[in-house]
Amino acid sequence: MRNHPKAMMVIVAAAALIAVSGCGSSGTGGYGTSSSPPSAASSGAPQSPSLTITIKDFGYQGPVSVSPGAKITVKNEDTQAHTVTSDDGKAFDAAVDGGGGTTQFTAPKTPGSYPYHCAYHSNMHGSLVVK
Amino acid sequence: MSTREAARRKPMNRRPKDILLRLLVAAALVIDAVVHFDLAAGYQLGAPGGIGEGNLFRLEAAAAILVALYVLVRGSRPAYAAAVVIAGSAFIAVLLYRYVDIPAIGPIPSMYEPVWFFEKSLSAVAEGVGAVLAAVGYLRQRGRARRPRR
Repeated sequence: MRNHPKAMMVIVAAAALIAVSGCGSSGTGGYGTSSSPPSAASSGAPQSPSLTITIKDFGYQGPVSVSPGAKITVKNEDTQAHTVTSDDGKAFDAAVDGGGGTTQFTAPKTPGSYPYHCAYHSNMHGSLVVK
Repeated sequence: MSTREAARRKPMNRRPKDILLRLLVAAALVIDAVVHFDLAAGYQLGAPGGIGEGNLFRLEAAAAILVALYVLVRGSRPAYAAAVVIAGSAFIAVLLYRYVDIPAIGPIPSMYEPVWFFEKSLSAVAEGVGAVLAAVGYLRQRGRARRPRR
């Protein structure tokens, strides 16, 4: 019973040492228990995850929901060219060459659902939710 | 002249069955042409290499319309043979480019499209059925031509 406060102090000191050494490491090796990403805090601007719409076999694969104004990359793995064109024709319209071509467009700033299609191949459809 | 004799003397390609066959073959070719004309503009932008996929679609559609008229007007062996060639080649092409990733060959661009959708399926069925019916028409005409007249 008498030794307990001493033991507690040793444990706390060890934990503090581990915590300090963790903070001093490069940032990429975080354990993920922290709620806020350290990289975002250090750069001063929020970093969005990689947002890529991949076109393969005449179909869209990619993020369904994005934040307003997010930069979205389009990668085309088909041999034919395609587009990512909003159905309303105004929100966004990005053409991308075939054979691994890429392009970027900005998601609308107004939240909502934005169905899109390929202007060249009318059977291709997708949907982007901005929220 | 009796009615039976009059019927026998009627040109063989003006009998009701033959007229129906001509209409069906022509309809199949027209469906094929309409679908290809409809898709041509977009596909030309998607695959502009060489002659361009859209332009190939337009050529196919124009040939289908001409042969449809030929079958409707004449209903002869050459007309049915032309219909077999046009509908049959389009049917083979759509199946080939659906399942095999063929690269560009000379002026023909790569047209691999591994999906089915309504218009494409409709066109493929029309081409297949049209080719079979045209072959039937061709064989009927050939059989009658060989039969000795009384």
